[in-house]
Order: sequence, then structure tokens, then C-alpha cells
Amino acid sequence: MSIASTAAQVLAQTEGLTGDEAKAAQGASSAGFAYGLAAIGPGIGIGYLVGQAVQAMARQPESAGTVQTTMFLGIAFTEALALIGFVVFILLKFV
Amino acid sequence: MTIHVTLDGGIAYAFTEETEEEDHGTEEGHAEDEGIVNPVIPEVNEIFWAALFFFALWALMKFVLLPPLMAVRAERDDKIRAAKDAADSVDSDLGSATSEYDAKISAAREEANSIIAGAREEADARRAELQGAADAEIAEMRAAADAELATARASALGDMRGDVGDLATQAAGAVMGSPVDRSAAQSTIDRVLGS
Amino acid sequence: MLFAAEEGGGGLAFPPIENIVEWPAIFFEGNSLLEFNKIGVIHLLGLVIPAVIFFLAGRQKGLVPSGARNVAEGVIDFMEKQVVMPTMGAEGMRYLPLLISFFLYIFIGNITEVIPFFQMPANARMAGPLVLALVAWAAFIIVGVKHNGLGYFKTVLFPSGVPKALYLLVTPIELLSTFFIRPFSHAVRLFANMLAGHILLVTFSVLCIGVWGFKPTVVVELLTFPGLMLFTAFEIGVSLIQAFVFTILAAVYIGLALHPEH
Repeated sequence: MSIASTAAQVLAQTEGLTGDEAKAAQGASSAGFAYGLAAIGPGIGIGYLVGQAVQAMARQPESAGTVQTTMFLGIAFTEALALIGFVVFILLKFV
Repeated sequence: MTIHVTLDGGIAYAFTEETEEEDHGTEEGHAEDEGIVNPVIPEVNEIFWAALFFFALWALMKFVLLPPLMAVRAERDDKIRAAKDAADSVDSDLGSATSEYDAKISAAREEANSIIAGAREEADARRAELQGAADAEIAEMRAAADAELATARASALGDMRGDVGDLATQAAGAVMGSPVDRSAAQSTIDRVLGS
Repeated sequence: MLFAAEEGGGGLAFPPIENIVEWPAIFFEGNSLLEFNKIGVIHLLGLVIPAVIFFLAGRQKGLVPSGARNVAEGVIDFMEKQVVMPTMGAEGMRYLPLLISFFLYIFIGNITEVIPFFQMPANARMAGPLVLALVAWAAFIIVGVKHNGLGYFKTVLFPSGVPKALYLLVTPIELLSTFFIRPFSHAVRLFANMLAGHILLVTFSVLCIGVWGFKPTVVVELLTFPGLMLFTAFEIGVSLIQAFVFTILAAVYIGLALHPEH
């Protein structure tokens, strides 16, 4: 996150922002980093999960219903990480 | 109804009412007035209404709305199950009838087989009997023929023996010039003819 | 802040977050407990619409459904086949009223995201998801204690088949994950999904408003309208799936409380 804070400091210096504004700018730029980093893992995870689910459904079409339900559950659990990243983004950006 | 999606540019303010602008002011002014706005923290009044309406819906579902529907579903399920049971019993009836029919068929077939076997046996016996009778008749006829033949032969032989003896005795008498005693020559004649 | 820097050039500015998620009071303005705003209206619809449909459905006679009862029985069948049976089996049919309430209440709270004149998912406010997640939390704890006695906590906190020394590690993790993180993640999952969807739609709408300005950037911004339509369709799907996921997770938690040894 040091790149983000450095960028924010540079931004603050060049535009001569006050303390609160500099904090807001820093928050806004680190918000982007927070959400971007939080999206990597779940992105890979959900891709892998859905791929495996499709494979399972292709191998055993008769168990597609069960696989689908389990897949949604798995996506819900994996996605939670990205969503927590999103909440952090909101907190950094707007608070 | 006030439009809340605002732009800070000139065009966007055309969409918002003047009073709205006064209420909220600029972003910074708003933040200074009410402190930091945190969109993640829930608000008490919204919790109150959400909880009130949700519990109302839950109670209605549990005690008023779902029971008649579930009763209808249960009734329909019962009907389906009863019809299915009836179909199953008919099916099992069909199965027993089929097996009964099969049993009858196989019994009849067995009976037919036994009848055929009996008839064949009888026919065999009858044929053997007839054949035996025919054989016996043939043997009898053959024996009779043999006996007749033997008597005919014996009489012919006797006749021939007499004639040939007489002839030989006369021939021997003519050769020797004196009659030959027939009884003396008889053993010689018998020896010649008897072979 | 960064958008505001471009303000001099007449560019676009994203509205402040409180403008897109907070609504003015309709009744009881200023009363911190009873203040009734658009979120309350949406939650009220979430009560009234299912109640009316199910009430009309319940009044129909005969075994063959039609009209409102098709809808109601479709929902019941869907919940039975997709939610109750895979997670709890036949004994879970007892919790059908709670799960159907969850599903319809959340779905109506979500779908208003794309309905004109509402354009706001009620679940993009933390209040609704928090209440529902706490109800689910209380429900699974009550079910667990009712069916397994106080041994429920023992089974959950000290799972069998774990070496005794590992309880030092396992018990705090189970305590945190089952009784504290679970309701939190349950609520945040719904809330963050809907808030993200709402912000996405607002962003594209703002970009579409920019098209009216006839600035040179209008060429790029013309693409935002198809984008807005696409994301509106996407959000309809998200509304449905999030309602389903919330409900099925509640069902899974209750199912785990019924038979904690699994």
C-alpha cells in the first residue's frame, strides 16, 4: 500500500490540499488498491469452482441439480472475501 | 419526488430541486453538519421497520398464508398416492392373473404331453401285439406248409422206394436169370435210397 | 474528491454516497426510531406483495392451481426442491415458512433496484440484511438447542475426532466462525452485493446523463447506455441469486444445527 500512500502524498503536495483533503485523497486511492487486491483471489477461486462444477455436470448430468446448489454455496462463500474488500473500499472511499 | 442522483456539474442541478440543494448543501458542508456518513452502519429506524415487516410476514406465512396451501398440497399428494396405490394393486392383480394363466397353460401342456405319451405307448403295445400275432400266424402257416411238404416228401419217397425197389429187383433178377428175393435185397435198396 | 478536481472543466461528478443510499423521511421525520422513508416503503411491499399473492392463492378451491396459486405453489415447490430437500431433507419442511419469508422478502427488497420509481435495493442498506441475518442466527441456535439440548454447543465447539491438544486451536476458531462471523458474513454478503450493484447502476446512469451535455466525450459515453441495459439485466439475475443464496445458507445453517455431528 506504500505506492498508494506515496501517490496520495505527491498528489496532496502538488495541489496543495489541506490535511483532510489529503487524507481523503489517500483514502480514495488506497480504496482502489484494497478492492483490486481483494478481487484477485475470489476471481481465481470462483473461476476454478465453476469450471470444476461444469466438469462434474458434464460427467454426470443426472446429478446436475445437486452440483448446481453446491456450486452456488461455494460461490457465496468465496465471494464473501471480495465483498469484504468492497466494504473496505466503501469505508476508505466515502468515510 | 426528489431526484437524488445528482451531478456537481451545471446540467445536473437542473434535475434537482432547489430545496434539495439547500438541505444537503455541498458534500463537505453535509459532512460537517452531520459528521461522517457511513453507508455501512445500519440506521435504527430502518432496522425497526425492516424487522417489523419481516416478522409480520413470517407470522402471516406461518399461521395464515401457508397452512391452506400446504393442506391442498398434502391432499393432492394423498390423492396421487392413493391413485398410485390403486394402480400398484391392479398391477399386482395383473401379475397374479398372469402367473395363474401361466400355471394353467403349463398344466395343460403337461397333460397333453402325458396323453400323447400314453397314446404312443398304447400304439406301440398294440403294434407289438399285432406283429406278434402276425408272426405267430406266419410261423404256424410255415409249420403247416413244412409239415405238408414233409408228408408229401415222405409219401413220394415211400412211393419211389417201392417202385425203385421193384424195378431194381426185377432188373437184378433179369441180370442174374433168376428172381431175386425182394426182402433180401431190401436192405441194399434202402441203403442206396436212404442216403 | 478526484472527480471534483475536474469540476472546473465541466466534467462528470459522482454523487456523494449519502445521496444515493439515504432517503428523506416520508413520515415521522426527525424521529430516530420511527422515521419512515423509501426503504421502509420497499420493506412494506416485501410484506404486502407476498401476503396478497399467498392470500389469494389460499382462497382458491379445488386441487388444480391457477393464477395466484400457480405463483405461490411454484415458490413453494422451488423452495422445497432446491432449498429444503438438499440441505435438510423432509424434516426441514417445518422451517418452510421462515425460508419462504426470507426468500420473498429479500427478493422484493432486491428487485426494486431495477424497478422504475424505486431504483433502490432496500438491502443496499445494512439494516435489512442485518435483521434477516440475526433472525437466521437466532433460528439456527434455537433449533440446535431445541434438538440437541445444551450438548449442541459442546458438539459444535468440541467436534469429535479431533485430538485433545488441538481443541486449543479448534474451539476458538469454531466459536468465532460459527457464532460471530457467520451472521456477519451472512448479512454483509447480501448488503455488499446489492450496494455494489446499486453503485454500478448509478455510475452508468451518471455517465448516461453526461450524454445530454454534448461534450466531445459523448462518443465514448454513447457506449454507456448499452452498458447500463446490460448491467440492469445482470442485476435482475443478481437479485434472484442473492435471495436464493441467503435462503439456502440459512437452510444450511439450520440443517447443521439439526445434526451438528455431520
